[in-house]
Amino acid sequence: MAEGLDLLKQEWKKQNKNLPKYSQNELYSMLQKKSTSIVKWIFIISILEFLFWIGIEVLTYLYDFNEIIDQVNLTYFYRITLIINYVVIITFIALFFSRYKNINVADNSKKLMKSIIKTRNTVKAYVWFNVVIFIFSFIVSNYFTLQHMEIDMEGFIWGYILAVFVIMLVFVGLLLLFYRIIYGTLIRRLYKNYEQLKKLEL
Amino acid sequence: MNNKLEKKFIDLLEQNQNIVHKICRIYAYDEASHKDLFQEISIQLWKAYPKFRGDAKFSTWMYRVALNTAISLYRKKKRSIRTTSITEFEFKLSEEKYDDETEANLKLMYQAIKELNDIDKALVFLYLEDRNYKEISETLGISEVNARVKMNRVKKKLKELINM
Repeated sequence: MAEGLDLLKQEWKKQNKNLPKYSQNELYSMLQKKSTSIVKWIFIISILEFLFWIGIEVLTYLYDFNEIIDQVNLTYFYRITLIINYVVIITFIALFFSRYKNINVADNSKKLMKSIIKTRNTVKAYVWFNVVIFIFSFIVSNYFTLQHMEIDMEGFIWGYILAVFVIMLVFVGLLLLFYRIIYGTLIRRLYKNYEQLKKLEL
Repeated sequence: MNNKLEKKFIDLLEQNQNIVHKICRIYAYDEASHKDLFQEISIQLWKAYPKFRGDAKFSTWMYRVALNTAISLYRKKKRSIRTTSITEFEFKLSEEKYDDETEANLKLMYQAIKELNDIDKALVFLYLEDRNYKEISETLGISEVNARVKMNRVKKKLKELINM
């Protein structure tokens, strides 16, 4: 007599009559509903991330820092970072869309998971690039501003550096927390499954 | 998308809906989550359908898209309090009345499957559906040898879960 999984396999085939049956109308109305797939969520969140950083960019432009920048002799530095920024943002958005389009639910499971993770990582890399650029320009502009102000109160400078350091730490910490919450819940299961399939092939 | 295509797709989905229901039986926990997963799989199938070339059988293609949705795309709703025993809805395999021992064994096995992780569940599902190892390996994206090895491990794990 069959036992274990093979017993279930014998019975498995007999279940067709006991499965629910949806009518064409029910199926049709299901197709009208919106998908709640993680790919859709990743897409929405990624677009929001792009918009967020572009927004920051626009804000700094609107505030017209040019005058301050000119004052502290940072025009050259500012222009270079601006160009790098635009090149990078266009590259990342193009890469993101091409990878997003490559997600094909009819691929094999491993390939599908890989393409979802790759799409996600594109945006992640973009965000980290922004954080690094943000911190870097923050430090450089502060350094030059301080130099320009010609303040030689040692205590003040150290206090200032400490404050800047703490602000950055909080900023990066918040960002990490955001990622843990948003993507932790969204992509953890997918990542775990992908690792499992990958481990099999070692 | 045009109506003719939609009509054709709904026909195919209606004819083959058992495949999706059976996947839901493995991955969903109650009637509500069964319907929810079924709906997401149907939406994904419909979205992918225009790219279906017909060079594979519709059912083979369906196995792939449906399993992928269950494993990778579906976002589980917060689970309501999960009872440890499986419900009649999940278990009702056959109209026949089993003898007590067989029924107990079947229930135990079914319950053990529910404890497995997503990938192991997919392997068990394809095994129960009598798919060959070539198809299993192609669906999951692993080699045939590894599919066999993994399947044997899952069987062993199920045995352990039952004897616990």
